[in-house]
Amino acid sequence: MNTLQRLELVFEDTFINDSYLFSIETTQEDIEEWDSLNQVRLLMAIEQEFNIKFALDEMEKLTGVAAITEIISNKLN
Amino acid sequence: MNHLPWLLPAPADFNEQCSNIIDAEDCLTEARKMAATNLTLNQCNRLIRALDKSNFQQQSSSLTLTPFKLGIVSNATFDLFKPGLRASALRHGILLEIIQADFDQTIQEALDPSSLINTSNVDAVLVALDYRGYPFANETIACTTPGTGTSDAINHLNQLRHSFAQHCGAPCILQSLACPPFSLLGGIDKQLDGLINKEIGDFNTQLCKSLKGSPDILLDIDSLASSIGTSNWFDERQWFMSRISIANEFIPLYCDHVARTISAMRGKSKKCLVLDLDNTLWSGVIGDDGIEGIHIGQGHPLGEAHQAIQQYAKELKNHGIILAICSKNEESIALQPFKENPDMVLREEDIAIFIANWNDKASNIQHIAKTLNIGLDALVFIDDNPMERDIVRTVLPDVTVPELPEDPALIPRTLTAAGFFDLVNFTADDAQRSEQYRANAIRRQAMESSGSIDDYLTSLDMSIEFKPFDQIGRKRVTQLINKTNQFNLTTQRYTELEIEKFETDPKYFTRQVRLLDKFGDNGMISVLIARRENETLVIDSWLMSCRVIKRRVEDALCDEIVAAAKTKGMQIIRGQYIPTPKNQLVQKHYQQLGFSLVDSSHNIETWELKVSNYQPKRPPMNITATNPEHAGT
Repeated sequence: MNTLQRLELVFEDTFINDSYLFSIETTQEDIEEWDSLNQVRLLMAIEQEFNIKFALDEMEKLTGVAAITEIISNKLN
Repeated sequence: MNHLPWLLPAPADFNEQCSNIIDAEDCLTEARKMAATNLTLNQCNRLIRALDKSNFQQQSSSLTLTPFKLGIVSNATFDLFKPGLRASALRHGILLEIIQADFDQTIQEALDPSSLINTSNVDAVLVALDYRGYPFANETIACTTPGTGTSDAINHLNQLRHSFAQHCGAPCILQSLACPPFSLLGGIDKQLDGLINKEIGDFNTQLCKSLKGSPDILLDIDSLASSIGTSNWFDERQWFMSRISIANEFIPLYCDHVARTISAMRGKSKKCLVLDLDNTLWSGVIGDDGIEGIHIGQGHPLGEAHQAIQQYAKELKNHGIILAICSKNEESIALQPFKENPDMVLREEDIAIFIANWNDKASNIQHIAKTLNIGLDALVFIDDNPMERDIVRTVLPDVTVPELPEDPALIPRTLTAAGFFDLVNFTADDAQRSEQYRANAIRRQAMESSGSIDDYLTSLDMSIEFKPFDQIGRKRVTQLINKTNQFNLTTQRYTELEIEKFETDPKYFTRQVRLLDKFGDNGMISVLIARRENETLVIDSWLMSCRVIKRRVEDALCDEIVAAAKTKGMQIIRGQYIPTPKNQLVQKHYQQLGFSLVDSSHNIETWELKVSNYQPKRPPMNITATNPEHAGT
């Protein structure tokens, strides 16, 4: 499974209402449940899934799938 | 990283199983099965959402959960924890409702008598403060309110405790403080006033001292964080970003600790450890290797590991946990090491029930529960063989069967980390409990071989002692009131503070009952609360430990109640039976004592006895320490 596919599973795990479309273009605006509390839960779940830690300045930027995927890939390499 | 290794992993199709809960016939039972596995915070969230979507509240579940209303105050963001708490509570047999105060409004919530927590009739208040929520002196470690150190912090704590005690009457669950992994000058920190290492250490010591004689309860986060490593427990990024106080991977573990504390408060801690023998208590198989071929202790690495397991079990037994053996072996062969091997830590007299045969373990475990007269849900079963564990889990889902590491060296730490036997209160009676159960098992066997019931009872040489409630017995009285479900006529629950009030209220007539016999001291086994209403003595609570059923203790207590009522000129004794799923046992209690049914509306039975008509029953026991001045107190 590539990063995007693993990320899709984390989204599925975090957001219970699955009526959104998941793609590289998906952002916070596209998912109703994606509020600040769920942002925290999402980032926690991503850190656990990929075994990485986001730095403070990175956390604020992670409001869309594209940004998240890029930062994950940087950390994994 | 798995921080709850004694739990089975969550099922692979977890998400799908959650959706199925919503329309299930018995949602609670399905949800409880899933909560018994190792869930991430997201999984807890999904499970609780599914449960809330279902109509479990209208269903009649085969599961009886204990309801508990928990108030929570915190200096940290707590919303994320709530599904974790509710799922963990489910795992421990508790249906949890959370009343959460606004963020960082701890003191206000306590002081204001009209605050949410103070007006919600909570069963306890969780004071989820970490070191940053107290006015310690050191501002440089992200403290928000600089104070002058430990005494300020302790005063803050006491103000909280007294305010909650005064305004909501519920006990507080108080967290000891984990010490952040910051050392300013190394080892000298602990000796320098104003440095956080010393201040937190002093705070924790003073907190523990202050709990003696208090209804408040300790949640030892200090020890928990140490066992994880405080450099792992704290995550500064999470604090700075969203005021979350614990590194996210430990949140499910924290939730489990809160849940097990609540479970212990409700008397649901496990009471009996059932142990396998081969490759559990010793290295090797006694039937194959013989007494010379098995290893226990003394320089053999595996032998030492298994001896440590025995030491853990022995220590539990010394603190009131009942031990039972369930092994697939010839009995005489299984007993050999207990009789002959000098390195055995456990001996026959430590074991309440010793079963070694070729029957299936599930049947044997059922027999153990029946003989001890405790529920299957009070048992923990340890076996190195995953197949045996699996079978018992499937046939007896109420029995706790932890996953065990393959390496026996790690078994004691896994078992203690699981906290099955954790208590919030420890009385002298608790320490004696395993001896009492063992003696009881012997009594049952004696009963099976004696003639009539009364002959048997006379042969027991029983002594019964009646006293009004007092300070010494208060904790045990509170314990009995809150955990007795079967022999309980009205299932009224009271906090320790309320029990204290009964001690001095002249309107109330109370009795704590102690039973001794020739096998030993059973401790306090029955509690009575009644109040005077003109010429009628109204029984509010009548409960008794199931251990002493069929000994005619209730007959002796009835004689005592009537004698006291006569002294005070009361004419009528009134008692009620409020049926619950668990107290069918006492359906005929008042009838058998000679009371008459006077009302049975609204599913509550009211029974009355005329004092003037009463014939004392005088069961075969010695009445001691009924102070004639107390009769009628």
